[in-house]
This record gives sequence, C-alpha cells and structure tokens, in this order.
Amino acid sequence: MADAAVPLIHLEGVTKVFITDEVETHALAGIHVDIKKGEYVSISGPSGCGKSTLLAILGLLDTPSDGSYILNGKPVSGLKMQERARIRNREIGFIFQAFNLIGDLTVYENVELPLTYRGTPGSERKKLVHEALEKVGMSHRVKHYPSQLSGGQQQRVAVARALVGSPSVLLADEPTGNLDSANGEAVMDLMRELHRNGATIVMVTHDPRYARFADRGIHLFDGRVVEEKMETV
Amino acid sequence: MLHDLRFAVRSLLKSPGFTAVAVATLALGIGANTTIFSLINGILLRPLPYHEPDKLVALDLLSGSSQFPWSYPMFDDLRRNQRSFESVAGFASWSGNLTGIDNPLRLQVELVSASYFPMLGIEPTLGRVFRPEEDREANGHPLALLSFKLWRQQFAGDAGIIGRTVHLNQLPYTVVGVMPAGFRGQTDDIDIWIPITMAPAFYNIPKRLTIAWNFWLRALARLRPEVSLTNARAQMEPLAKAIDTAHPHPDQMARWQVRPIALTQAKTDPALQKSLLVMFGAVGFVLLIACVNVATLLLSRSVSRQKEVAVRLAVGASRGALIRQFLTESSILGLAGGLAGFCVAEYAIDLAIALRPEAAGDFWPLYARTMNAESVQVDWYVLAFNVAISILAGVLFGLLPALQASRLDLNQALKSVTGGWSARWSSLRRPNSRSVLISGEMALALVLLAGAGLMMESFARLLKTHIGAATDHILTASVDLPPRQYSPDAAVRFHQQLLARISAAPGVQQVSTSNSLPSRGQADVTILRRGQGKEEVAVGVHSVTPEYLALFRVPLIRGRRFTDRDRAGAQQALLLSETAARHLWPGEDPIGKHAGLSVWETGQQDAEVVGIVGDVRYDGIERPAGDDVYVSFWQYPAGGNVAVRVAGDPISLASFVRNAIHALDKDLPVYGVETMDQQLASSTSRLRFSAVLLAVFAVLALALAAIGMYGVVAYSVAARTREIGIRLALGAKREDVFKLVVGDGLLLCLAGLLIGIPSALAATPVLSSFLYDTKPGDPLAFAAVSLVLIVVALIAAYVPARHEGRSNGGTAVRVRISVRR
Repeated sequence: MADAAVPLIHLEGVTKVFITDEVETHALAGIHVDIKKGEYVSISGPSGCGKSTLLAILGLLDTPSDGSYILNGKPVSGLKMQERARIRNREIGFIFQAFNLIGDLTVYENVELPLTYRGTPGSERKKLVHEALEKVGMSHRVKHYPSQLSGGQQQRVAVARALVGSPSVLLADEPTGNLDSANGEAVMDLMRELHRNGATIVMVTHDPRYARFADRGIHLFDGRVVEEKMETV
Repeated sequence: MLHDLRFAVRSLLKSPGFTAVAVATLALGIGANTTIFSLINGILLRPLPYHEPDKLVALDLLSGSSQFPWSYPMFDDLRRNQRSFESVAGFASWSGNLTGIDNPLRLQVELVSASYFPMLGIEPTLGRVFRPEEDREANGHPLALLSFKLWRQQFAGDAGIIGRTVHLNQLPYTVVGVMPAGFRGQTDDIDIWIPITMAPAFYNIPKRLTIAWNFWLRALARLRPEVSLTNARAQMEPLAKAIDTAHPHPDQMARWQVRPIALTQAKTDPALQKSLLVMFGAVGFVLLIACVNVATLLLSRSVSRQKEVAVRLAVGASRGALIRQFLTESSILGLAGGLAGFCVAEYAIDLAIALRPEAAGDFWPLYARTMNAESVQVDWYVLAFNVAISILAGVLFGLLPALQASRLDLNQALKSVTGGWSARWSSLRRPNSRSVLISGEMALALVLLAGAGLMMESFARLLKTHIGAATDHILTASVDLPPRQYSPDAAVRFHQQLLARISAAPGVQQVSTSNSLPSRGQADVTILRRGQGKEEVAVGVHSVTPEYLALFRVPLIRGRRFTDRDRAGAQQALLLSETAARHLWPGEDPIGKHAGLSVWETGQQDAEVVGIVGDVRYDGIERPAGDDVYVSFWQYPAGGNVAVRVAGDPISLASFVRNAIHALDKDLPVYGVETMDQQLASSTSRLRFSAVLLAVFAVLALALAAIGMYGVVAYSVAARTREIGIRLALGAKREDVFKLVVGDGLLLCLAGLLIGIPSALAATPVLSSFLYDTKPGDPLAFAAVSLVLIVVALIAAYVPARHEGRSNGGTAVRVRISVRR
C-alpha cells in the first residue's frame, strides 16, 4: 500500500520520440506529472498533442524514450515485457474508446479474462466477476456476446473488466467517444461513482463537458503540459 | 488450459471456411505421411514374428564375392560340426502341383528340416510339426503341414484333416498339422511344408541329398545364449575349412566362407527398403509444405485477430500465455488434420498396395515382408505416429504465427481498427515471414518435383526401351510338368501335342514353349566350356521350341534358327545372342564352333553353334542383355511357358489354352495366363511404384504450393486495396496493377527457384539407384520442373490480380476510408 504522501504515479521528464523513415516525431517532450491515489484526472488537448501516447506510457503499453515513471513507488519504465504484463494485470485497468471486448467471448468471459491471466482460482473468479458486473449493472447479461449488446452496454462491460481485478488505477481513453450522449452520460456517471468509492482514474478526453467530471485537468499541447487546473463540476 | 481449449474450439468453429481449408491441407500432408509410415511399419519395422528373433541368423555360403545356396552334404557338415548355435535349420522353397482335388493348384512348397519350426518358436494350430527322426532318411517320411490359408480355403477348415492324404506332384503326403494364421514361411507365400529329406522325390532328382555340388537350400541358425554374432563369425572359419577339405573342387575356385547375418537385417528387399525411405522423405516435404500453407493462413488470420491479441495483452496476458493460446489452437487444428489424414491414409494404403513392386529378381529373401493387405495394416504404432506428427505439425505451423502475434505493437493495435500489422504485411517485395515461408514452400515443391520429374523421365525411357523382342499380341500360360510323372521324352511329347492343339485354334499365328520369357528374369544359368580348354563362362540358357525366336521377332543375325530336326539323338545345336557371341569368341566366327554345356542334370554334352540371334533383355527391362545361349527344347526339355501369337486380342484365347492343357492332363495347374504386355508392365513395377508415388506427392506439393501462393498474393492484394485504389485514381492502368500483383508472385517463385534448384541438385543423387538412363542432375528435367513451377505460380498470382485489375479505384479508396472510420 502506497504512502498517502507519495504519489501513485510519478512521471519525471518523460519523452517519447517516434522515428520512422529517418523522421523524428517528438510525441511527448519532458512530461512531469504526479497523480495521487484516489485522484480523478483528465488529460485533454488537441488531436496529435500526445494524449494517447501519454496514456499508453501510463498503462505500460508503451515505453518512454527518456525520463522516469514510478508507479506505486516502483520504477517501471525500464521493466521487461513479462514484468510489464504482470503489472498491467494487477495495477492497471483499461477502458478504451472502442470498448475492445473480445467478440468470441461472452460478457462473463471478457470480464473474467484479467483474473484468468492472474491465476485467480475459479470460485473466487466467479465471485469477483459477478461483483464487477453488479457494479456496472450488467449482471443480467453474463451469457451474452458483445455483438448482442448496445454500445453503452459494451462500454459498461469494459468498465467491469477494468475494475474486476481491483487495479490501482483505471486508465480511460475517450471512454465516451463511441457513444451517444445518453450512454456517454451514463458511463461518466458510472466512473464518477467508482471515483467516489476510492478509485484512481486517469481519463483522456477532448470533450470539455466530461473533462469537468475530473478533480484535475491536464492540458497538453505539442507533447508538453501547458496547463494544470482543478476542475469543478 | 481448459479456457484455452474452449476458446480455441469456439474460435475455429466460428471460422468454418478457414478451419476446413486448414484441416484439408493438413489431412493431405499427414495422410501421405501416415500412408508411407504404415508401409514402413508393416515391412521394415515390425519385429519378426518368431521367438527371440534377434538370436536368429541366416548363414550365407560364399566363394569369393559370390553367394551360393547350400548343398545338402555341406549343410549336413555344418549342422554336425558347428558349436556356435543351439540349432541349425535348412529350408528351400519351390512350386509344386496339388492334385487329386477339383481344380488342381500350383502351390508354394517349403522343404524344411525338423529343427525349422522349434527354432523359430512356431507352434502348429492343429496336429504337430515334423519330428527329428522324420528328417533323416531320404524320401522316408512323406508328411505335410498346411498353411492356415490353404487349410481354410481348400479344406474348409476341416479339423479332421490330420491323417488325410494330399497329392503333391503326384506323390501322396500325409497331413500331420496346420500352421497358425499369418505364418507363411520364409518367403511369406508358402502354402505347404514337407520334410527336407523328401527333396529327391519332390524334385525327382535322386541324388539331391548326396551331391555336394548341387546347391539348392538355405540355412538358418539360432545363436547360443553365450555366443554373440561377432563370436559366431569368428568361429565359422574352421567350419568353412572343413567344408573345403571334405568337398574339394576339381577346378580353381575361391575357398568357401560361411557368414552369419542377423535375420532381422536380411528380411527385406534392400531396393524396396530404399524406395520406402525415399518416399518417407518425400512425404516429409509434403507435410512441411502443408505446414507452411497453414502457417501462412494463420498469419493472415492473426492480422484480423490483432485487436483480440492486443486486448489480451492489455489486460495482462503474458507472452507465454498468448503463445500457449495460439499453440492450443494450432494443435487442435493439427489433431483434426491428423484425424482426417487417418481417413485419407486408409484409402491411400490400398492404392499403394495396388502399385506394389514385384520382388527383385536378384534378392532371395530369408524373411520377406511382402507388401500386401495382411502385412500393411493400421496398428497402434501407426496410430501413435499419426497423433505424434499431428501434434508436431500443429506446433510447427503454429509457432511462427504465435510468436508474431505476441510481438504486437500494442499501442498501435488498440488505437487502430485495422491495426499495425497490415501495413507491414502488405507488400511481398519486402522480406517478411510470409514471403519467406512461401519462397521456402516453392523451394520444397521444386525439390519434390525435380525428384518426381527424374523418376518419370526414367520411367518413360524404360517404357520406350526395346527389349529385343516384340511383345504385342502374345498370350502366355505356364504349366509345370511333375518330373516324376514326365520323363524328358514324355515332356517333349506333351508339349508337341499341346502346340499342335493350340496351333489349330483360329487366329493363332505362332506358338512356342520355353523355360524363360523375355523380361521376366527367369533365365537359368549354366556353365559353358569353350572348346577343349578349361575356359568356363556362366551363361543364361534358354530352352526353346523352333518357333520361339520368330514368335518374339528376335532377328537372326547369322546362321540358322532351330528346326524340328534339332531333336533328341541329333547333334546338340546351340544359338548365341550377339553379346554372347562377342564375349565367347571375340573376333572370330562362332558358327560351327563347339562348346561343352552342362544343362539340367544331363551332364556335360557337346553342342555346335548353329546361329547368332539378336540380344533380348531377359533379366528385367532395365538390365542390359547378358550372355544368353539357346538350346532346342526338343533336346533339353525344361520349363513350360507357352507363348501364343494371335491376330486379335490375345486374352480371348486364354480359356482355349487352359482347356488344351487340361485335355492332355487334367491334373496340371495352369498359371501365369496373361498377355506379354501385362508381364512387361509387372517387370517395370519397381520403377513404376517409386515414380507414380513420387509423382503423386509432387503434384500434391505443387497444388499445396499453388494454394499457398494464391492465399498470400490474395491477402497482399486485399491489404493493399487502398494503395491500389490510389494508384488507379492517379491514372494507373489495369495492366499496371496486374503487373504489380503478378510481379509479386513471380518474385516469390523466383526466390523459391533460387533456393530450390541447388537444394534439388544436392538431394536428387539419393535417387540415382532408381534412375534408368537418366542422370540425377539432368538439365532437361530441371528446366521442365522449373517451368512448371513458374507457370503454376503465375496462375496462382493471376487470379487475385485479375480480380483487382477489374476493380474500380474509387471504390477501393472508399472501402478503405470507410474501414478506417
């Protein structure tokens, strides 16, 4: 358990450079960010500012070109693939814009997936999956396949999958981007509810309406943090 | 694991098209392997069905480099003087006529010493085997043991058969036992066993057991427990010396040697063994090609699954867990392919047996595993092999896609709809896993095609080979006159009457009797002594009636052919083949020369060369003509192969010839009733077996490679829809797109040729012993198969190219854009 004074996420001088055909693209240029446990942070900015790259680095889907990343008191930027997979599984829950549910798995199996990879025993898995689906109000759809659900329902299942393993942080990449406004609102309400219950959330969004749901907003431009402010709903 | 299994099955069932193509591809590869393994298992691997077979040895008698059968006195010396073996057994097989039944039968008879069955550990199903005291006195114990098959088929499995009398070559034998099912003696085709001491009566050669220089039997022995094969070999020298001393040869000849060989090593025709191993290599290639095909299919499929893979990785799947998931799927595919392959093999085994080669003429098997439905069966070994290669194939074709999938660019894949792979994979001009796999597949196919091409070229040349005799419109039928019943004079009278009867039939142009027939590998060998000196030459001797040479259109080079005047009492006449004339009297005119000839127990007689005739290939089509001489059947009656040349279809005369023989003697079994062309086909059976099977595998490989090429080019075209659309929108013509796509396919094919040609040049020398008049690196065969491969690759690339060339550029761009949205 992290000390309350120590940030859950600490980024220092993080850069990301993409090199393609001898052209260097600086996606992130020296990012310094601290996120405390229980915080709800939104990341916003224009297209191409580096929001998603930052989120990918936070979620250990990508590695920084330079700088350090400390998660829960442990440096993670230089970890090997296997260890990164283990941390993703235990510490991080993802919510994607395109839901990214596996079409060949049922709702239950999709939510169960992180626990399966963690090696959680079957009976405990069952209990945790049902609890997670209960939280998002999808426990009546356990045997359905994603294609049988609406977009809003799919995203709720994706949220259940993100939180089933009780991760330290939930990373959401434009979670309402593929939803109509009613379903978008519902998902945002759900996330706010999770935050009230103690979840740490980092959300990428370009929609100012949803950015206001967060405690704090980080605005990016050309790979740099240009503004950080406390939000009020 | 259960989760992986469940998901794998569900995922495969959700893509029935992909699954069906993959399973069918694997079924062909695994089926071919299971088929050839079944043959190898049945013929090469299955242990000998004897008690402690590793202790059994075959005893070869050698003089210099020549191997001889044993004579009875020498065998008896060996049996009495040896100390290395628990027991020694002698055996010889010959054909005999079973008479006194409705339809007389020609049977395979094995003459065996009493020690034979106890030494092998074979117990009779009914009755008893021969006792030691029944193996001592010449012609003293006319007893018989029946094979299970003969007992069931001819005597309806009558348990009261023991004590009954059967007539073999007109002699009565008392049945004392029935051998177990599946035991068919040392040559695997024996119907009846009699004591070896019955040889004088059976062969009608009274001195068969007493002449030291009459070689006719084989010897087997069981090593004493404390004696190794090496020790036994060392102990053979004094035995061989004792034989030399006891039976001194009148002329110069290398000393005798006795060589024990493990029976397990001597059991199979070496040519068949090599042929099967080459086939095993060939089907290994077919399986590799099938695996490459399925691997490319999986790679294509994994592109559409990258989102799923990315999600799994994002929620914490380790690389190992992902590889396991992919390998579970590929193993299930492999096992399904194996199951289907098993069904393919069930049919293919029958096909292979139908093509089985005739046993080699120069191989006298001690225990021959003949290729038939009884010996080649699907057993647990075959099943285990099938399952093992199915799993191995599953891992083989699943590994690369699994590794590829686990190295996914996560961030990219999760963001995009089509993902990060497609761009990397679209062009075939840059080396990537798929293009390397397909080039490799083309190279493998080329190696197989080159092998098959060489074999087919050999086979074609063999079929075109003129054997020195015309074989069209000729019917043959064979009859063995029991020597006990037919003296030489009686045999001459029988055949004179028979030929007269057959000649009278409508449509018959010529008819003859001989001891051998062209290409049938049946020439008897005898010693010809030239002039008064001591020069001796081994020659093939053919006893023929006067019309034989004209019937087979063998040209007369000089002198004369035989006439009816060349009969008993007249000067012995001799005809030489051209090769024999050249070797025996080089630079001289042989006509009118005399030679000493020892033919079939008649003792040496003086014969006068009366003519020279063209060469005929007797010892199979592929072997050149040897030193052959012809004697008049009326002077040396031997054998009973009747040949009839007719104006129409020769087979229509079959029943007439059969009836003509039975009209003269109803107890004579008639066999080998077929056309000469059919006989010729069977003498090419060894090359045909290898050539046809290799060609089947090569065509299979080519088809699989073409499908693989099509799949990869089609995928590449699909992945490049946008690029092609832009090209078209910018003014590219359809033929430009066509060239682009076909060019990709051609490039892969050329890369395959670049690897394949040197590989084939390195691999094909293994076929050299099968090739006839063809060199392993034959440029014509290589050029032909390269051309075939290029044409097939062009066709495989043409289909998707034609489709894409017809598409509308705007549509292609729109499709792509809508997908991106």
